[in-house]
Amino acid sequence: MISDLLISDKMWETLIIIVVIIAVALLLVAMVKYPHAKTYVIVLFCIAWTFGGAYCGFTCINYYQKESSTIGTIEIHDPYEDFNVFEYNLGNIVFYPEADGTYSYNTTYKVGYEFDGTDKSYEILINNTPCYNTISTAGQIHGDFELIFYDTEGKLINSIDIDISLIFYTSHIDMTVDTSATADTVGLMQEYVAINGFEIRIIEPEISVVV
Amino acid sequence: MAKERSGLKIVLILCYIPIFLACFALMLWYVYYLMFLSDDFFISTAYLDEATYSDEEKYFIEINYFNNEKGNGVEAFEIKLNFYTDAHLPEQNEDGSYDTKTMYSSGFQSIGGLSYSFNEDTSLDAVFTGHDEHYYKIKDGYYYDTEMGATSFGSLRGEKITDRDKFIYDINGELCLVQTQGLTYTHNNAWVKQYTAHDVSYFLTSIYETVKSLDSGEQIFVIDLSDYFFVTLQNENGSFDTENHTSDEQFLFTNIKVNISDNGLISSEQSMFGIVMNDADWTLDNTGREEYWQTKTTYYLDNEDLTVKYEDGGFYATLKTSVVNYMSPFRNLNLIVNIDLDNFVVNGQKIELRGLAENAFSDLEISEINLTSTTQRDFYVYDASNIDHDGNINLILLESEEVSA
Repeated sequence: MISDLLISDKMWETLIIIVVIIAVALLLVAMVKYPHAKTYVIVLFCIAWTFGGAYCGFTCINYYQKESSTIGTIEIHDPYEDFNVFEYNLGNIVFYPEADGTYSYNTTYKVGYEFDGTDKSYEILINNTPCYNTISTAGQIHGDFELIFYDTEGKLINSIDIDISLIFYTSHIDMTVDTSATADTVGLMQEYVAINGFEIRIIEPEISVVV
Repeated sequence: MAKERSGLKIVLILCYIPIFLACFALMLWYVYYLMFLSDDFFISTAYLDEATYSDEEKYFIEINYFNNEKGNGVEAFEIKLNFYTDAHLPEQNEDGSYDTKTMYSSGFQSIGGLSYSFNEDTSLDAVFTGHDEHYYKIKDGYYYDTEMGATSFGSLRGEKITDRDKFIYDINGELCLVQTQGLTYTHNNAWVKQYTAHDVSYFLTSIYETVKSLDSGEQIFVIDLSDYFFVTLQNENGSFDTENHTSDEQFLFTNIKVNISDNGLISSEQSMFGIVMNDADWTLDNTGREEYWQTKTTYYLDNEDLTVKYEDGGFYATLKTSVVNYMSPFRNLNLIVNIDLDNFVVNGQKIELRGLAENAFSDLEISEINLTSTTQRDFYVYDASNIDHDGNINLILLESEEVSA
């Protein structure tokens, strides 16, 4: 396209050199052929000399203004982390209906954690509230989370039991939250999540076997 | 007359001599530069790290993509940039950091996917442009701005994200201007200049194509924005330089947060804007929403959470101190204690429990205590109001400081 045929820097340099050579040649011819033109040629030369000096000066000043530098720092998120305390906020999760009538939400977090559920005892907290029946195996941990909902008269509306599962691989974590509750009860849970979010924490509770 | 002209000529020549010498010196300096310095190449590297706002990390670029591979919703692509505007520059705190509550967000949402084409169709609302002039037509495109925590649809300042070319950001306590420098590409011909375009739309196209190639999941990774943006720091007088004078080339890196789901979008709550198609209540979800007053979370305690006290010839169960300490910080719990009296073991030794100790559960509020036993037995308690037991157990109420022999 014509708009693409813009002149490159190399072509500009060549054109400028050609123009300068032609101009100097014309001036020399003019001086020889027309002696009275000598004054004008000298004036033109002074103007060109001044502009040339100015260009050289600006170029050099521009060079000394430049420097190599680093602005800011960045946190490189490690794709693999040691497992001390695990925290992850699922945010506003939404439960999807499954073919078997249950509702579930699943996601993948692309960071590997060195989790070993066999050497320590872990608890899952949802919004800083513990799950019951937490079971951890080598690279998995599961917990049950039961919420009871009350209306403004303090009466029980309904309760929901949710299964939470985290499976730790070397490069990512698969997280699943599912329930076999009815649509109405899931709606209560959705309202809870909309207000409180859904933060998962896995901790080592300091509960000793022997007192 | 001739004398005057001659005098003027001499004055002019004398005045020009210093200028001539100065220009000569500058030319010598230029020759020195060409010989020894012109090959020097200055590089600056800028990093845009995430900002923290109300304990929430905000990234310069955040992306949500619901590719709807599971077919349970609609395909949706969202991109949001977080930055400051010149109308609301952040206040600097005493420690040099910037108050991020004035952070501005501007973004774009496409519902139903983008279709790839080589033909620009100006009848459509918006289009992304690729570097070789391929286009993405947008079926349904929506623009949102968020200011001081409130999101509005449409553009608050009359400037859509696809039209913006300047963003203010904070780098380690210094404000900087992030500007588009366009996309450059060259033809394989030294006589033809590189073509540049200053349009954030090219950047958005590249991001969209990158995101489409990724697997599902949430990830944060570093990307190179050097082809699309450059950064200049704020000057002492508060202005921002719109040209990059400080280096020959600048590299710009930032963390980008990408969340890709195989599910489809079914609710406005999933949107990073909280709005879908200009509707904050948009949903395909059939569960509905129901309001409630309060919730309680059920937690079960059993034999393993209990220990014993020996008092007046008998063992009385009480909650372990470590369990009390662990449970105490939690609020709104529905605590249920299940005690199997046939298999009560402490330190590997089977214990015949006589009852529950006084104040066995400390200050914890117990909703329900369930006792099970396959044999007939008496069981002593100080409070039976929340105890449920099977028929083999005979509850005997104790008064404080009284233990029956």
